[in-house]
Amino acid sequence: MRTLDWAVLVAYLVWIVYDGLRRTKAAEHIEGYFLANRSLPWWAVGLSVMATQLSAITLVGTTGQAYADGMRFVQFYFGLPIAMVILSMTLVPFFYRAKVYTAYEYLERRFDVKTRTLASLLFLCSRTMSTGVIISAPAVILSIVFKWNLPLTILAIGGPTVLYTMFGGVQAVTWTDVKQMVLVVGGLTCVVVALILGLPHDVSIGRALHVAGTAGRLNAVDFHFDLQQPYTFWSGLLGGLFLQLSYFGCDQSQVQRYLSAKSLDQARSSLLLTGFVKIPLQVLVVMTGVLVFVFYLFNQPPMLFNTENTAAIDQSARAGEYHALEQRFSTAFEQRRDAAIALAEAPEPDRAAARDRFRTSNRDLVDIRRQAGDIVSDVTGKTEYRQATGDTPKPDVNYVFPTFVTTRLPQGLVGLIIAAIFAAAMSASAGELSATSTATVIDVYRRLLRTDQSDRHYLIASRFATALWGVVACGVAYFAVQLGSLIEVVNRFGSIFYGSLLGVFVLALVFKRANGTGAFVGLLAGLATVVTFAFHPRTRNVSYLWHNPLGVIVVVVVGAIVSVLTTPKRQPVKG
Amino acid sequence: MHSPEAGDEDARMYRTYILVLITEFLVITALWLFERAFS
Repeated sequence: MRTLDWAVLVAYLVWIVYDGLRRTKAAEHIEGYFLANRSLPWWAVGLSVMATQLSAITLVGTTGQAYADGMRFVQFYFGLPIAMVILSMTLVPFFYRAKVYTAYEYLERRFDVKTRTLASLLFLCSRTMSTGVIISAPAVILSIVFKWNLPLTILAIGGPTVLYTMFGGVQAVTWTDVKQMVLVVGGLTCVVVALILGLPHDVSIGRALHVAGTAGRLNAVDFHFDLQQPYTFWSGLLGGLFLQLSYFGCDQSQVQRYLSAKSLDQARSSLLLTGFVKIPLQVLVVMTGVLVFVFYLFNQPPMLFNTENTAAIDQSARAGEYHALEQRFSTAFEQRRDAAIALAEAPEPDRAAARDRFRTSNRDLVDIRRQAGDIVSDVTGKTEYRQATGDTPKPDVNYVFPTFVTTRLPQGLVGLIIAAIFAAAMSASAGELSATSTATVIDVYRRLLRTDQSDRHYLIASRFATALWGVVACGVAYFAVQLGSLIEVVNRFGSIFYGSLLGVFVLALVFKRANGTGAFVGLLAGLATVVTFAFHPRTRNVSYLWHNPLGVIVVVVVGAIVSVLTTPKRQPVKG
Repeated sequence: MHSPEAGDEDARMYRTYILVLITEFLVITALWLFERAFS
């Protein structure tokens, strides 16, 4: 990073903290702090909802995944617009008219306090871990790419976020989210323009996309029905529908957003905005990754993007072998570049032969990368280097986009994109912090511990809870790095929790006879079933998107049966 | 009881729901055509 880049990044951090803190006056009562006095316009709420969902992991990981494996990840969102319509018609009016602070408050009104508390605690466990990962993932990547100190990078992301969320509440979170969303989309658009301008003069964008298509990078819609494929049309549409229903309908970080809207219709409109925009936005993200792939067809990429093991390899007995492999990689790249140019320029009759030549040269390059991954794995003991995402070693995927940004973009734009990565991490974690603070104070502290205190007391408790969860999230972020595989555990844990929680809300809305015991037992049964399914050797390879419908079905069926069995029969009236 | 304004509002919402679903169908179709055009 050069001086102008630092200036852009520091200016962003100062501006966003100032913008958040100036909302403090509007958050001097608990309803203002948690729900912005139900005063926010639909477009701000809608952008905030999307900003909370678009974390730095999405920005960096998804572009890397598209580079390595193409556009298939976009199918993950196919169920989202349908989920937005269903929620606007069902849960949103219930929550909004019930004047609740948290989604789980509704569960007590419908069932009992134990169901509410269990649901709220599940949310708190899941979100605290995921907020840590939201902060740690970009911190690790940036600290490796720029050789920054890791704890300081975690603090640079987490510190300002905790500060403005703690004082400004949901007002600060929403309005900073709006600006951060604009920054992220603007930054990505600049990258796309830079990538298109970076193509060779004699290769048009259409021809370059033909080459990307030949390399299997434009695989956006896959109609095969395969339970083990994580992203297909069906897993996205059906499994994804249940995941999105659960995320937007039962996760406090999302529910809190639309409860802060001016009116019920504005709350619905904010979700519908997400329904309109989310898939095109994800297309922009994955298309950026595909264009990075196209760029590196004509400009030499590093053999491995992740440089954290370079020193260990240089000092190992296999350094010579690794450097010889780098020479072979350069030669293979030149052959693939020539094949790509030939394919881009080939007239229709010659295209089949040009495609075969390109595929052969691409296979050679991929094979050299795989061998490099094997050497890193042997030297460092990191077995994940033997696994691949698409045709790229797994640990390399998250470093593709930051490496492109830092080595190929001009001064100033690098700072802007790094600020956008910060913005994505901050907006996602601020929403989570605000939601965990709300659930802690409203569902636990005010409901179970201190039931009759003043508004001022709860406001101070809320600020304290935000700060506490912020410190915990930064701590989790630091230890998540040490544990490595925790990210996968968090993802699996999220999918275990979401389907079951949605099941309780479905039970509440659909079965009039459902009672508290049924809901509580159903929720536990759903969780137990999905945990077994997720970790059992026979079923653990099934895509996690299918855990969500499974959780819903088990909770609803068990909850309904237990409710019927535990409802006292009416005594016949004696005449 | 629903007022006439609330009825208008509901009708507008239902039109928006249909529009969201039509947009999704068009976007997925465009992605599928895009994939086929360049593969």
